[in-house]
Amino acid sequence: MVAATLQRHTDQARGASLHAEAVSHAFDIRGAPLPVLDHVSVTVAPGGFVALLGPSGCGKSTLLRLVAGLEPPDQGVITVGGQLVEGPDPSRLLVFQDPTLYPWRTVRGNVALGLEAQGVGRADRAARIDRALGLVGLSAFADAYPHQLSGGMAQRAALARALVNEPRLLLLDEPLGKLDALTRLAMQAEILRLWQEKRFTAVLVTHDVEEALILAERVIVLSDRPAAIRAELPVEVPYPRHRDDPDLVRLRRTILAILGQVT
Amino acid sequence: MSGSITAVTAARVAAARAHVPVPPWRVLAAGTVWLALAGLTLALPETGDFPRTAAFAHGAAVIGLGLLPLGLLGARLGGFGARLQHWSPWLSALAIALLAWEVVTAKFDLLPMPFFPPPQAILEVFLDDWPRLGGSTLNSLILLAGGYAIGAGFGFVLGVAIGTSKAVGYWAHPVLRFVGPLPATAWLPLAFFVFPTSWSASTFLVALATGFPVTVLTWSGVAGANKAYFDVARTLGASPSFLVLRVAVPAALPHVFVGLFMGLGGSFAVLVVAEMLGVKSGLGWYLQWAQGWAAYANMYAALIVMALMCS
Repeated sequence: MVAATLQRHTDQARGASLHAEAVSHAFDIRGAPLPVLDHVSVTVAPGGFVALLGPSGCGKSTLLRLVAGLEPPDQGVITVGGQLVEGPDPSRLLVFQDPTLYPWRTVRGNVALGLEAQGVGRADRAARIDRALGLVGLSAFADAYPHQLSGGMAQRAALARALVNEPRLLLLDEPLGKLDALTRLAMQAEILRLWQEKRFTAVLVTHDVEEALILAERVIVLSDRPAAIRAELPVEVPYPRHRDDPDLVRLRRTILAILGQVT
Repeated sequence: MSGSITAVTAARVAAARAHVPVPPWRVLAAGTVWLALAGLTLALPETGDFPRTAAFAHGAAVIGLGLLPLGLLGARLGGFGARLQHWSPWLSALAIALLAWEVVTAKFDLLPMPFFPPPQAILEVFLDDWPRLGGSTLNSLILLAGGYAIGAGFGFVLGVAIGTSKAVGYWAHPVLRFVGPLPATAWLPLAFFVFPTSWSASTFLVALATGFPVTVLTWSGVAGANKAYFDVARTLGASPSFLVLRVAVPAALPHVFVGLFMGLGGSFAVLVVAEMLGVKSGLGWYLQWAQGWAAYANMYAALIVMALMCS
């Protein structure tokens, strides 16, 4: 009981800070460098929620891949929780636009992936997986295969697969981009609830202005490729937010104007 | 949600299938045709001397007499009855084909004799020469199983290694490109010269014929696996061995099965050729031996065994 309370308390303070300083990155397209990030600096406080907003293909996703440690940046320094990012780590997790569930594993097997990879014992695993599935409301579908799930359910499973590892930083790469409008609204509320409950640090990449405004504490607007920071706008509206909130409507107009200038 | 929809559709399709009416007289008709085959075989005079004509006719009569009560029981037989009804037109066609064959060979001698034996001559081979034919079949199966297992295992490991390791890919890829398209049979003279026994040579050839498609398809399965699967596993803390065994291998399995299937066909072909040329047993050897003695009935019998083995 005491241990459980302690656990919850440390959970409260789980979010890790993120500092990306003057990060530049280029892809190699047949020998010619294609710059995608141009001196991007982003700072997120522990437990914060920041949205990166920009036109498609501007390099937002690349920034998340660099933060996740899947690739090293060409220039600049990225630290998470004060530690230099040198490779992937289960404390910083990416949720992709596609759920990318393994089709040969059940939902339970997919959620178990991280725990298996980290060598968590079988007994521990089962309890943590059950908790994660309950958290995203998928307990009834634990033994279903990915092809039996709807788009929203698959994305919930992908969230559970990340959350079961209790990440300190959750990187959301357009996680709702392929969902229908109604599922999207439900999943936005879901992500908000999970963030408020688990207090991880969240970075959301999206090109949906409204989604960024509903979810994030701060919105960073990026330019077209190579992505550079155009504007940073705090969203000082208490949760739960309403789409018709006059402050949000005003911010939305401002952001669209900035994006309009860019394109 | 989509899961339940799929289930509903599947149930509907199954229900629709179950309601297709199957005429119950089909099985009875098949039984009658087999009895007709038996009767005509016994009644018509023969142009040659075939000791197993009676056995052939009796066999056909047994099948015909067996089908009649089964046809009368019909739907009460459940799954077996449904399957019998489904295949009974084929059973009828088979009896008609046997009858036509019987008529043009043994009864009216319309086809040149040693090359086209009547069905009872082939039945005679199965009844009288089964020790030799059975032994050959067993030897072929043992050779095939050994070589196939070696080739499949080696090809699988090599394919995974090429797909996951740049260094292995660098060295193995050109070799595979150069040697792979060569038909395994082209290695035959070399194999019989290099290997101490014809058995080890055949095993090598069968393994080679199996290994190439398995290697290439395993490799393409690993290489074609969704790159995001690897990104997901890496962020979740997967070690290199986890990436190979739990991500690359399961993702490649559908391709591996295609490779195993293709390898089976190729390996059987090379086995038969190897047995014809060097090995002193097996179905390929039996074919060669039968041809040497102009025992064409034995040849057909061996071909039937091979067809049954492959199906």
